[in-house]
Amino acid sequence: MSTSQGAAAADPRSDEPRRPPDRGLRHTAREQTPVSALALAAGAGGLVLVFAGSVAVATAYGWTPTENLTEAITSPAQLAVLLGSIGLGVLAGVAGLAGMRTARTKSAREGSISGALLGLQAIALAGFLLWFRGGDVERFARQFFDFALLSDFTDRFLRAAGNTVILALTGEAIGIGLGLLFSVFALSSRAVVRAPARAYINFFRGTPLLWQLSFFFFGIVLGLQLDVGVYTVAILVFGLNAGAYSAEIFRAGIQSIERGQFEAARSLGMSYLKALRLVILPQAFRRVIPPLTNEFVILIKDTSLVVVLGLTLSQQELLSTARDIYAQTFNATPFLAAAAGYLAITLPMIRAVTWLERRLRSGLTGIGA
Amino acid sequence: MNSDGSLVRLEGVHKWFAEDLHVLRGIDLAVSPGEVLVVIGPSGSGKSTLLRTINVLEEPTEGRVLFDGVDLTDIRTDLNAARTGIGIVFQQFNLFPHKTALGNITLALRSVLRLSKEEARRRALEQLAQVGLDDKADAHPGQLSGGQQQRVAIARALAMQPKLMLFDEVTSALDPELVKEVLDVMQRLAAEGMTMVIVTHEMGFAREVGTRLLFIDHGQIVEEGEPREMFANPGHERTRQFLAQVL
Repeated sequence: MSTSQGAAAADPRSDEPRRPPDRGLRHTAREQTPVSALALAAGAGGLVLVFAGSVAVATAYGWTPTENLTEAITSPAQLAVLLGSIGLGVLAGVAGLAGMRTARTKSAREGSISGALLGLQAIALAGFLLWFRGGDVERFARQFFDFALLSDFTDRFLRAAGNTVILALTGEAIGIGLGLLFSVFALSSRAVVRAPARAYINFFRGTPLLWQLSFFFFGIVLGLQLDVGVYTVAILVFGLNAGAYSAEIFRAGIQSIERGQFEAARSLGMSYLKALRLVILPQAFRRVIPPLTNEFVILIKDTSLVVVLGLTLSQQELLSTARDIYAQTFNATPFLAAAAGYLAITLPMIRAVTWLERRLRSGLTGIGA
Repeated sequence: MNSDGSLVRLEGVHKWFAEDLHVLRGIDLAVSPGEVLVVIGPSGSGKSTLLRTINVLEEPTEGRVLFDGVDLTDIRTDLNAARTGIGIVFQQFNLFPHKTALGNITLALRSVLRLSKEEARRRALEQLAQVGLDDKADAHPGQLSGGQQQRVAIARALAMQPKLMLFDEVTSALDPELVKEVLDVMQRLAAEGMTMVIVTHEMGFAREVGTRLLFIDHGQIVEEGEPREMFANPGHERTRQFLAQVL
């Protein structure tokens, strides 16, 4: 049997893989014309100036107390920073338009366009800040930028972030388990298996999470005088809710696997469940990682609804902590801290899942989705 | 073997896909051990469905399928066990993309036949060598050409040591220059005495390798006979028309 025909093309070992010519940053930089380089530099410079300049001015005047910050925002130095950014942005736009026309290479044209767009972003951001400092900055800074106040509550926020993570992680873990199970039930050829699964999925997708939390806690737990804690109920409800959404995600993932995969597995003597477990689910799981992540991110934020159940201090998660401190201090800065807390949880998680997804996909070249 | 000495016997097999879609209309057929039965027929004639009823990927609406002394249409039959004796190769390869070539073969050896890890690996490598792909053991299907993928699919089916091999238009999805490498494997298999049922459009191959030719149309067997004889001298008008178009 000859392996030579057709083998050479696909064999990674047969000869060194040819790399595409370097199209990296250095290449892009080398290809610029003077005009496109000016556009890029002015655009990037304008954007950097808004950020770095504003931070520098605020640092010079001091971030705390709020009087200093107010002074920084309304200072002539800050005005100079903003006007300078807008100027650079306009310059980038003009140079970009000119460079786009005269560019002889694709890199130069892309450089011009990117420069102009960076300039546009600098103008938009600086323009907004310019408008902002025309308002009642002092009042705003006192309400939202009182960072000194936060230092008293660092421990509470750290514990709150921990609680948010606990609620979301355990809820999602239960949700994935339930989702997997009920997606398989929902795909059963037996109506008596399908029907209860559909009922569960539709009920938990069709009613508000807030209602579910209230019903299970105030209705079932308090109503029946059960000895079950708030967190147990909350985690269970989050799990049930996430399970319903995950079930639909898994169902779509399973159905997206070609019929032939199932037929091949069955014809090798595998039972329905074996084929599902060894052939269909491993492939489906890879495909549902993005929608599952999306669902998880939504759950992380929805854990804040637990506040309606009435929490003790140690049970508070990010948003209820912010609300609680706001009620105590009549200062809204804690909400800013809560937002930062959510982002600190969600952004690394999204990165981690993207990494996982890419890792699972490596080696699967040619498997479209 | 069945009581009449055949390996496969279809008795009065009918298949409806819908009330007005009568795909198989009373098929009676017996395949003896060592036979290479080639099934030809126009598109939509039911030849693929016929093949797929043999391992009950399509359940006959009516009639019986007997394989190796077991009635596959009997509700009490352990179909999963019976299917390990029937290998099938598909038009679209249907390799498992998340497994390597080796993993594709060992998956059922381990999980269905319960072979040890070493034994499964040994048998898989042996089969890969048989189809000339032992150097591709660790490649994923996406890294293989169509012809190579199809040969892995054949190796995967053969590793189960089946008594019967079914081929469902296995070269139809291949680039023309890759067809031969797959047909070569099948030809060798036939020479080794494997019982095979082949649905194909490769008329040259049917004539060379087939021991019996079956022409079906509208879900019925129109004519059967010795391939060379039938190609040279079709006995039925419908067969004559079909052959005139494809040859």
